[in-house]
Amino acid sequence: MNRIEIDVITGEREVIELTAQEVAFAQANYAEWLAAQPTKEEQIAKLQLQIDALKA
Amino acid sequence: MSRNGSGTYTLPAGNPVVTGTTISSTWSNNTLTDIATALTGSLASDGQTTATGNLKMGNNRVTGLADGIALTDAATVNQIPSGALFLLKASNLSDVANATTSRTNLVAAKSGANSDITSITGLTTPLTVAQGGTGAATLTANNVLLGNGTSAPQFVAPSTSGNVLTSDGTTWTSVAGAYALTNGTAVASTSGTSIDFTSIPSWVKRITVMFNAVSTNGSSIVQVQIGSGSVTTSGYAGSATGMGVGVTSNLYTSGLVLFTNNESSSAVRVGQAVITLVSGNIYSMSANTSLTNVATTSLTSSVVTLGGVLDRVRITTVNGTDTFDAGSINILYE
Repeated sequence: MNRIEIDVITGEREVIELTAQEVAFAQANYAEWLAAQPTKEEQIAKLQLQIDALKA
Repeated sequence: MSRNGSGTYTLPAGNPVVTGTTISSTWSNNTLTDIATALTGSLASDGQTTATGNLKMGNNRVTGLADGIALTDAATVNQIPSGALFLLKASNLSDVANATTSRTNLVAAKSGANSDITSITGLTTPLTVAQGGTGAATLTANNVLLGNGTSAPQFVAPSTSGNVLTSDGTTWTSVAGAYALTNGTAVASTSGTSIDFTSIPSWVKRITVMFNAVSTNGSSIVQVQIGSGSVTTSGYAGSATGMGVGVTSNLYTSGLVLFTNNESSSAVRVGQAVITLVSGNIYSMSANTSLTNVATTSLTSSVVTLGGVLDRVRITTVNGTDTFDAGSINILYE
């Protein structure tokens, strides 16, 4: 996995290999992010509320 | 008869006497009187005689001369200063009547308009403006010089980065300028887990990130992050609404999330995100993007405070490991 960096002044383009630490950091962030997301059931319940409101 | 005007003495009439002639008192008196007159008109060696005309030396020297003591005395060579002698001998000042020759011999420059002076290295007082100089000993590096009549020029320092010269109708000052739109070079989003645009100038107040049919090999949501020195990966305050099959909204803190409710490896994203400086290092961000493979639109906004002035923008995915595999991305900054 790598990251592409473009210097907007010089136009220089670099491809930088992600370190294991960076990958681990990204995965940890993602796990945290996933945990904070509403579950499918919660999303369905929210949609159901919207449907009920429209029907009322 | 005395001398003939050219210095030649000729005896008076009756001379020379023929042998056998009786010497008369008349001959004797006339001759001796003439000789006496000639002698009186000659210079006595003891200095009794005062010259009544200029002495013609006929290119001969006056030798054995004593050193002069009165201003009207003749001077001996011994009385001429050795420096003067040197100048006379070495510098050929015998031709002082010829200024060009004398200057050449003295290696001296002509006064007034001339072409003799081709370089001056010993000046300690700057030439004035009226003299063709600046009147200043130094010109401050990187400053702009303003004309100031016959006085030394005035200087305008560059001041803050991004400043421009502005006229107030009288003079010029360095003030914050209006900036042009700068379009970057589109980057193919066909590889990499993130694409960073770096070295964004400190004067930039607004950045537009443009997405052209961008896709990844996974289902993680694409997001935009910004930073100062390094990319800020948390602390964003905002939410996103995905509209497609139903409407779903969520809060997000990891970046400006281009959330749709149809994320997949088939998702093809178009649209743009705009990042605007609020004040200090606070940046407001918003995006309106859609998918082209399925009718879905994302409306999202966020705000974040950086540790310094923004200098980079990153486009990546929330999981940080999905890889871009199609499309292109560019930025426009101003």
